[in-house]
Amino acid sequence: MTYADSCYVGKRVKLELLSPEDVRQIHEATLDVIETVGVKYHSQQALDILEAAGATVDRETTVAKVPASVVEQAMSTVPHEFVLGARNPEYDLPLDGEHVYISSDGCGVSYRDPATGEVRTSRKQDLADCASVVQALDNVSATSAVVSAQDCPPETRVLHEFDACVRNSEKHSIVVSIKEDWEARSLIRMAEAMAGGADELKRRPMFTTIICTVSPLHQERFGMDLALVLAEAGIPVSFYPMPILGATGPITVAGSAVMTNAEFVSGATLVQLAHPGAPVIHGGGPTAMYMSSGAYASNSPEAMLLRACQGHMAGFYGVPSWYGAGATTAKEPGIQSAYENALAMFMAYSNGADVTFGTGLLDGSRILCLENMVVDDEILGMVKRILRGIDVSEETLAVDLIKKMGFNGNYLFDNHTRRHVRELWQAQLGETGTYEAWQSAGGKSTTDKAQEKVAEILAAPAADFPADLGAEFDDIIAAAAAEAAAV
Amino acid sequence: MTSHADARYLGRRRPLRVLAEADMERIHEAALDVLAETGVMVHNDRALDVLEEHGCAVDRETTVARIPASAVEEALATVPHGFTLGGHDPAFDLPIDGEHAYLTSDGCATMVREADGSVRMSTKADVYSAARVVDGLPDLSASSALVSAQDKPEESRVLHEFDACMRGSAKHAIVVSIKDATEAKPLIRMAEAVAGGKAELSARPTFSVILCTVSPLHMERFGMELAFALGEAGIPMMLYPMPILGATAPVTPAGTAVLGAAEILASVTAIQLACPGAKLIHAGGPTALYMRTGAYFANVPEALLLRAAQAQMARYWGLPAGIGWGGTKAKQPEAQSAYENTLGMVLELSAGADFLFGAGLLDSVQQMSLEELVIADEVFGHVTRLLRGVTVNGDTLAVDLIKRMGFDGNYLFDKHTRGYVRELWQAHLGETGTYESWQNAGSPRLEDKARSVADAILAAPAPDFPEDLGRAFDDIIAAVESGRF
Repeated sequence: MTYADSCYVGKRVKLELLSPEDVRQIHEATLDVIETVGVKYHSQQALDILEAAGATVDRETTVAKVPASVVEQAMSTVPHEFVLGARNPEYDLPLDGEHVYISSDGCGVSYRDPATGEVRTSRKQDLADCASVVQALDNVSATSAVVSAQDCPPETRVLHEFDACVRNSEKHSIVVSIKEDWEARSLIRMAEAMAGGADELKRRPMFTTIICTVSPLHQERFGMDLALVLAEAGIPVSFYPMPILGATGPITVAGSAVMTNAEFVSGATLVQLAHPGAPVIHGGGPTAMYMSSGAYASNSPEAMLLRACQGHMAGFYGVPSWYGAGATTAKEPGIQSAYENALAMFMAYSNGADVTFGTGLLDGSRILCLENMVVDDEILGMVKRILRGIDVSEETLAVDLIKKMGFNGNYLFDNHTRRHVRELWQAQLGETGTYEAWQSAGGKSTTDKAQEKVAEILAAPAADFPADLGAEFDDIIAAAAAEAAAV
Repeated sequence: MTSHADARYLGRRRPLRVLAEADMERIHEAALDVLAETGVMVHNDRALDVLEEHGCAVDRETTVARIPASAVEEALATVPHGFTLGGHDPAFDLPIDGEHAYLTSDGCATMVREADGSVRMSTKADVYSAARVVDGLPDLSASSALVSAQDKPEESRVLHEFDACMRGSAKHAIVVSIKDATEAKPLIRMAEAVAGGKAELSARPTFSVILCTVSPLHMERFGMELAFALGEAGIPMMLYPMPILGATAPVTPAGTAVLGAAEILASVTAIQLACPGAKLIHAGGPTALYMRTGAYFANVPEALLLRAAQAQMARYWGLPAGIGWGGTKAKQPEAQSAYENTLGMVLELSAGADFLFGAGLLDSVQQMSLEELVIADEVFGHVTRLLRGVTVNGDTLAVDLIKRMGFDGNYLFDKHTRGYVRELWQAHLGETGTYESWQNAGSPRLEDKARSVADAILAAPAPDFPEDLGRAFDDIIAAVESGRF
């Protein structure tokens, strides 16, 4: 059994939030918007490709209006399944609609000390610690730059972040803070060193990149040039719209579903025109306003509903999908983070998401809280079991057993029970015993226990990391720093 | 003004299916097979008489009735598909029609967890406090004896508990601890006093009753006389199998679904054949054996899936579904109670449950926690907003708006935004502001905020309770306690 087998949910229990007719309407509205309003691509290279394919481009505004026929042709080459590679192939993650994963989150700026609750600016070591925790948690499948390595120079920060992730974990990694295509080249060199060459990297990409689109209807300023470099190397790109409902997108969920879908489709179209078959991922981390505070939150129900719609749109195009979940607005680990993240995960996966991004941050994706990852790990364990649903067969229906047991049956010692009892889900973190047992163990909260688990993980030796690979990473980062200094 | 029920209208949910149509048919057929061949143990002569009259093979010595499919079908034909649970105040009437969703408090705990974490035995005053908090929380729709009134005599305890619910809350009440028909009579008399008479009570029953079956394959523990008395008075009955996977039922969820279906169908058959049209609700609280500690667990994923399956089977048979919910194993209000109960809530409601029973308990339904009631209220609001889903039409798709806004649009001040902004869900309890504003407020923990909400409700004036009704209640209870009823 490989790691991915433990993330298998099969066809899964699905919430059909949108009807096929709803999906068709959103698709048609998307094509209409891309053809008549267009998308601001911010890249002459992108405009060259789109113009050659038949789009109407404006070189000054960088807007391309892409006819529906061009979009549909381009979207016909998106791959429906691919594998996210890991430093240790044991942790490779097939994206095929039948597995679900969560990664750590990205782009936080602070770290919360579990003992004191004190919050300080994040640094590279926090990423390393987070990667160690990801490595140790069964249900967290990929690392990421969960917070920014603010003690590293800005020009090589993304390389340091990747370095911290892969040195401390054998799992796949998500790159979120990359901006420039030259950063991508150094990063690809590091990943090639891990994978064993360019061809191997294409087959088993060691990292995925999230490229945020800018609502309304912009591709990221450096996003298209970056996407083209990554696509050529076979690195999966997730186009990740982050509209605020009612501010940078329509307040209605359906309206923002059209807009976000247009942002994904326009990015994917460009990539497919340039590199047919390059892996792309339907992503998104929308937020909606809480009127009470005027703040925007990704765990508001409307934002969850939008991500659910996006899941259905990804299903319509047959592309893997990847949505925000886990970005609780709570300020400390506890009740709010638990119910918000549980709902966000359930809604995302039951509406088709392959991956959620991700766990570990509080305060609307700002503050790293390692123990909250341990809690989310437990929640996802439950969610995965729920998604697997109820197996109905002659053996599981157990009619003969029920008849045999009659009115006084003690099922406990029957063979049927012994055969299947190990299939029952087991809590790792939650209380399962009596009140007295809990009290005599110190009356700890789930958060207390999660903190202890984090401390235990961080006290254990880090994952093995080959010394020669480390030396190569150091050289690549030093060369990038020198190159940046020379510019 | 929107009524309590209108605000909990979901419309036709897009159901989540934990069972495919063919799976539901297989479970139904398997349950019929078990009922015909093995039967159920009925423990009641009148029920056996009725079953025998309708073609069941009855063994008077063992009290086992083997029930043919024809009797089950005859009974299902008279089951009402919907009805109204009457509020103590009609403003809180709850139509049960598949298009509304409600939450009630739980029942039968014996301990109370105080704000400081200390734990003590429960009394009638706690039943009253819980009812007051239920009354004050917008998304709780019915009260119940969340804990047992252990300071009251056993023979009148259920009446004291109902008394506390009615005095503390203007909402419908769920009666959980009634044992036999002799208790039902004074209770019905009290409810008639609330409703204004027999016919009014039948039309708008002020309370519902939970009837537990006993797995495997026994009908209501305390006999069917109670069910018949309630059926005749028009009181809704929640039929509540409580199988333990791997102990009193098969360890496989599908097998427990069959056993639970057999118990439900047997109860439906006996009650409908005796009282055609009696108001029945498919309820249930399956748990799973937890091997590591030997404990039983209501919130393991297998038990939650079974509860979703029950909601689906209820629809399959045309029965309303009021499914057991909220049995967290957590020992205090904290992350575990939050994620366990939340996953159960979204799963059970999205599978089609009309209401969930019940909020407010910890430690496997042993300890009352007022904080948990408040937290459940918040999460219910969030979940039901999710289940209202996404409206897709020309106006919500907003294509013209997207075109007009183009690349620099500020949607904030547009009319379209103003038109819909009030539809956004509002958190009442969860933090939604900045880290700094939270710190400035003293870094409150959510459980403490929840306690404050409960305390504020309890500090406010109690709801009106007519003096003459109070006297009528006192008289009935006094009569029962002195053996004069």
